[in-house]
Amino acid sequence: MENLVIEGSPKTPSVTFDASSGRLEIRGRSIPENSIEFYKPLIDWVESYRASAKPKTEMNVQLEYFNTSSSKCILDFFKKLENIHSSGKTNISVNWYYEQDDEDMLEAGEDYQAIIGIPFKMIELKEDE
Amino acid sequence: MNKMLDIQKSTPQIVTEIYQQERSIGGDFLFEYIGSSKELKPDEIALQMEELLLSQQVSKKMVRALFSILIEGIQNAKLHSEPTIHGENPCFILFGKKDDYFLTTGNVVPSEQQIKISHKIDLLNSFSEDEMKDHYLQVLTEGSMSKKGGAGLGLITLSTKSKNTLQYSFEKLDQTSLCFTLRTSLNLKAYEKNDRRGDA
Repeated sequence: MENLVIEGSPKTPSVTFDASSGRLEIRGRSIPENSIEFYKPLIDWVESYRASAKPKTEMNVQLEYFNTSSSKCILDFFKKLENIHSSGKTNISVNWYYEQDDEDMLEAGEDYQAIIGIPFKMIELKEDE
Repeated sequence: MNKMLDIQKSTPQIVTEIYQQERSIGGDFLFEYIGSSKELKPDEIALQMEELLLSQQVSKKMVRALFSILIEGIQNAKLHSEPTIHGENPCFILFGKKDDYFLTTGNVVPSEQQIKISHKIDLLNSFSEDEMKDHYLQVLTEGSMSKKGGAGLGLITLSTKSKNTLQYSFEKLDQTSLCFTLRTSLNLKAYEKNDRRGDA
């Protein structure tokens, strides 16, 4: 299965989904006006990953900002992961990174944690990280 | 930033008046736009604003809140600008005075939207913090994306990030259209004071 690599831009995050290691990463800012276009390939990739998923999958999310259009798409993305996780194909865990003192980003991670049935780990980034 | 395009042809008079009225208030800090909704780039504007505020030593926490308010406010006005014979161009003004920041957006909406929008904002303004959180989670989990890409969360986010009530008004354009003006304000001291985890 091919990896998914998308370069980041000022309004969309970088994406590195590595099927061979089971390590998935979204990093940067997500503020496009219509997020569906951006997130559809990510959701489609995860659906394809189901068939060849590694026993363990690590999802790393490190976002500085995301707009409300993205928040809904991120939820749909997590729901797709949850679906694969609950099917027993792979054990998925989410590392949710947030900048020091960014309580809103921590809270956003906690909101997803409350909704999605996947283990979340909240990781605070120090200023120089 | 000020982008004056061919606004006479495509900007409703009332939007121009709101723009001029808000602009006359002025402030230490000003970001503004009136013109084509297609050429309005919320992400680029927010990035410019962020850079400027950080260079002025505004705290990162405050900049984050303003960034979200600006993105959601402008994207909301752009997304819901309705074409009419009077034009469709939206406007926004963001200005800062000492510890206060104000964002005003103006855009044309169909008249039949007035009751729905008013009800939505009145409801948000009446919520406690816990009620707001419950409402946000409900819309996030049960709502669906519009064809335009809206998630129905923009006003909730404006209200949450500002930690303040939203002010709004409608001005009649004609039998079928209104100009919707939305004002979001953020006070730095109140924001720090109300922060969920304070100095912890």
